[in-house]
Amino acid sequence: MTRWGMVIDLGRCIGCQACTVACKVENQSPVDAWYAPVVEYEVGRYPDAQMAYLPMLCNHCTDAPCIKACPSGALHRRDDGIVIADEEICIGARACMTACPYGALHLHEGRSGELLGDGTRNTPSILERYAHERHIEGTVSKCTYCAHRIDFGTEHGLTPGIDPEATPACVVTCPTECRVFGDLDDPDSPVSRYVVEHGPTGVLRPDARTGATTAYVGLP
Amino acid sequence: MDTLLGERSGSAFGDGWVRSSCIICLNRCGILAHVNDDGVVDKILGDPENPHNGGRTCAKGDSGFEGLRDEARITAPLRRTNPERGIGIDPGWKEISWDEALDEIAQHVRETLAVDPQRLMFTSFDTYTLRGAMTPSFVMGAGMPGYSTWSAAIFCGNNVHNLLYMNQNAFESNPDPKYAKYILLIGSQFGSVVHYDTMHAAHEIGQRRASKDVHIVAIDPVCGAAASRAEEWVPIRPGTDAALMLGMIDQLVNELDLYDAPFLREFTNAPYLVGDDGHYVRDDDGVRPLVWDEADGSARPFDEAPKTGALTGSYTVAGRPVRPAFEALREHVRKYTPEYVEEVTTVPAATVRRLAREFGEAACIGQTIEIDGVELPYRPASVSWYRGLSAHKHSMLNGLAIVLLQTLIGALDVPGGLLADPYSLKGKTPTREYEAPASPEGLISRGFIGGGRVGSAYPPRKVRAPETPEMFELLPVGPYGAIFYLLNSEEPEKYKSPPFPLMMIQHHANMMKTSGPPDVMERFLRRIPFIVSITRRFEETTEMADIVLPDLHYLERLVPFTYQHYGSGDAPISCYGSKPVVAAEIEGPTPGEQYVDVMQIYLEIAKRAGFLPDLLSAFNTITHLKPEYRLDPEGQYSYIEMVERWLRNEFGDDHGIDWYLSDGLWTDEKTVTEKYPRPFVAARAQVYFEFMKAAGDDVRRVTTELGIHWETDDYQMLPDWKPGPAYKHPPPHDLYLVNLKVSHHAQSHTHHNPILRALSVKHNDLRSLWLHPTAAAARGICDGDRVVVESSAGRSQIGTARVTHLVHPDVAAIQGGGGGWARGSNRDELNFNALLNVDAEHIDFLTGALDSIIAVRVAKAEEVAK
Repeated sequence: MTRWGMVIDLGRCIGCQACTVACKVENQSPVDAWYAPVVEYEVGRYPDAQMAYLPMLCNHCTDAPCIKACPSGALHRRDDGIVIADEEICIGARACMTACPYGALHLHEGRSGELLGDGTRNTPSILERYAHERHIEGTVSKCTYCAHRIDFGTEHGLTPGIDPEATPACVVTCPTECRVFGDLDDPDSPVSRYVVEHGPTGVLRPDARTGATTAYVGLP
Repeated sequence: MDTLLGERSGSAFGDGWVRSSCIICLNRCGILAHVNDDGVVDKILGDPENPHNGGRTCAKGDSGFEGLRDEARITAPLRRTNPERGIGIDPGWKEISWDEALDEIAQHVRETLAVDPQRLMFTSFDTYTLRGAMTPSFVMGAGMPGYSTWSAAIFCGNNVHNLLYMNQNAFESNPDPKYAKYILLIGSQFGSVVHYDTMHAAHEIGQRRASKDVHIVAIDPVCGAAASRAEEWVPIRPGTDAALMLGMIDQLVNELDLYDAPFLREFTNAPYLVGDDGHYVRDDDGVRPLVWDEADGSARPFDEAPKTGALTGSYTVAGRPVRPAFEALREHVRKYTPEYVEEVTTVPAATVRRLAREFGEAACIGQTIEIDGVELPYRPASVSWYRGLSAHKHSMLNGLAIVLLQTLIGALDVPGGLLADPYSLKGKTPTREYEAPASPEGLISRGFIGGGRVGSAYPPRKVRAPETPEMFELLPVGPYGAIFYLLNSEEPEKYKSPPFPLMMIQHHANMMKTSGPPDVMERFLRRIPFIVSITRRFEETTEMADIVLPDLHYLERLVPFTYQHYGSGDAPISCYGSKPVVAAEIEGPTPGEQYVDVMQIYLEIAKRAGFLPDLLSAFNTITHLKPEYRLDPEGQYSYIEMVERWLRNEFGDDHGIDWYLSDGLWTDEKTVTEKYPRPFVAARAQVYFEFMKAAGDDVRRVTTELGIHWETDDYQMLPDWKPGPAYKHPPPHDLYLVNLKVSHHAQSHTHHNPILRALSVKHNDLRSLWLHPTAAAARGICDGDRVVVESSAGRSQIGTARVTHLVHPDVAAIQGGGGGWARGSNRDELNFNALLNVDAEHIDFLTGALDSIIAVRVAKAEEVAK
């Protein structure tokens, strides 16, 4: 079996937002939807203070609260563990958004020409144009671990997590390689090896018992 | 019209992907741009085969295609119809043809050149072409006084390039990301995708940080991205870094004996004997400095005792008391005790002592490392600096202090140390090999490169009466003089300013927003009767132009020589450039030819103004074209033909434009001596700056003859810390305002990118004024309050308070270069540069740096409104 998963090493993240933007461009996500944001927060007191960075994305949970909450059956988990939101089925009930402890589901509110959110632009940007073509207004979309790249790769004999064309965009662009991707069931995959070499890992909101396949090294 | 790329994919990566180069920041990463079925670029990735960035791109590069659909894009030549020029005054733009525009420009160029070529001012920060030959050949061909990069020339490398040339024959230098163990960031964010060597450095340091193999200390008034990820943040009072550097040097040479003595003897002027007047004691030839040869106990010319010169002690030569320069340095820095340093910098004395010890011990003095079978010095400690240390009054002294710290531990161009880029002491380009020459004094001596005005501090240039308001002739050791245009504009009588330019051609340099404050810039630009702005979008500077020509986005350009990374350390040489990934949807200056570069405009101007033969001759010279490729100065060549010849000359006859368009990536490995050249080159670096005295005397003589006031006190042979203008900041202007970079912006250059802009809105970074909790409380300010920040000159900006522990208690901070008033700019953002002071008090008269610490008053907006 193949079970895709990601490990993010917080000791390496420099908060540069390359992943945030690479994801937005790759997935042409709707205006307000940032599937892979890097959350910034301050820790400590002067002079022992610093900015901390937490890269987020869908945790592709084994026991996904969003799937259970969805009234329309728009959310499902593939055999390889990737959780998909089907915008054709979604009715925009938003129950998933409430259920997800990671804020990983995003409603396409249909706003247009407002990517800036500050009134300095009047016409859609290139990204907005394609976001409108690719996504359905009033429905929910989310990170897919770049399933389209994974599927392209496996069809062409490439290995997700190793070959860039088959690997999630956020992983490929990261200058510090703080994101590692691969098959959790393959002990030789980059992600399995990383856990052995750099673990232990933890998950966000362990209390929610989601069975997240996105794990972190160096959680506080 | 067939486009240059035509049906070709332009790369081996599959349909729609074209190998090209980013140009958003100075690092010019190799990219692959994706053109979709609509013919639109919708995606950019790092080029995995390009060794410079190794397949990675940053947030800016990932989204760079958005500029292709800029709302404020200019699509045709424009002429002003309203003769009144100024901020907020509608120019009344009228579309005109290229012919009309170029004829009018050419006529002004002809008239200006007939009066005086010095009065034709050219400004550009298009680093695509500046370091190549295209722009320089236009400037040289016309006989202009050189080009100015403007904002970069005021804030950027004022104490960087001149001093790196001096000690490393380098334009830039960066810590060795592969071997460095200890890096001091002095107001720099190296490693955080905002400095040089962006993706490579972030990658190497990120990898090694995970295994605790590298220790970074960020000395900075603000804890930005780099300081947050550093192993230690040391908050410091702004503008006092030189005191800390000198305090660390005192510890190293007087308390800890942590310095690289063999290196100092053989590869620096540390053993050169100096007399009680501070000058070298020279051989009978009057040139070669003497050293005290410990081998035979006598004074000998430096080159006759290359490794045995004494570093310490005092001696008598021809009846005169003398001592090695190093001994003079040791005595000079004794006053920088940790306690004194604490008083100036607020860095605790114990921390000063600890940092010095850590830095000195990390340098592993005496240790070696074997690379490619060759044993090399291993000195894994370095410093990184730029605007944070440079944009100050006393900038030259700051720079000398930091260069000293680095040089004393012998960590120049050896594994782990500070590595030169792109040129070094010794290396090769695709067409030639070079080695830094030594002056008769035995010191690294290079001088000018390129067609600009950047030069080494040593040997100092001869001082003479200035011919332009840039006053560059009065800056014998400085790299830039752009700020003096503004000082002269503000006070033309005081400095007996030479006449202002009659004409300016401005390209890729939004000086109105990014140089001095808008009111100062407006007064200056109003002095120039005719301004041509070549720009992709309506910018703040465009508003002041008489004729506007449309420029191209980097994904529309053909510039094979965007940058040639001769590479630092063990990075291979890589040459590549930009391609017209998509054809511009605008007509260019030459009918029937695809518009692919600004050079096509320059060629048309040169042709119509009558100096095309001079331009072509300059091109032949700058590019070192072999006879078979040389241009006939009386001939006519398209831009593409010139590129073709240059490519074949550089990379071989089978590497012309077809190769470039279908592949275009050229790499070469370096030998170990090219990777780490310091031990293999005789020319010496400096730890004692004897030349400064003569340079200062020269400036004093000429300015006295001219009868103008000029500051020369900083022409010292050894550096000191001196307080800058904001250091004393009596109420109510009792906070220091500083500026820091944001990882996802390249200063103001990316602010109109809607994706990055949305990210900034999300993080509220460009509108925030950072205040320490005690500073905020003292002013009754809470997090999120609207606040006014006002300089003592009465310039003000409004922002939102971010009350944070990430800033020194005496400091207020603004991120990025937001604000502005052009179409698409956001007036709600804070514009740091709009608060700067341009006057003699804030200018470094040696380097042309403008002090970027502003004494400000901060108050709640509602209270100011009352």
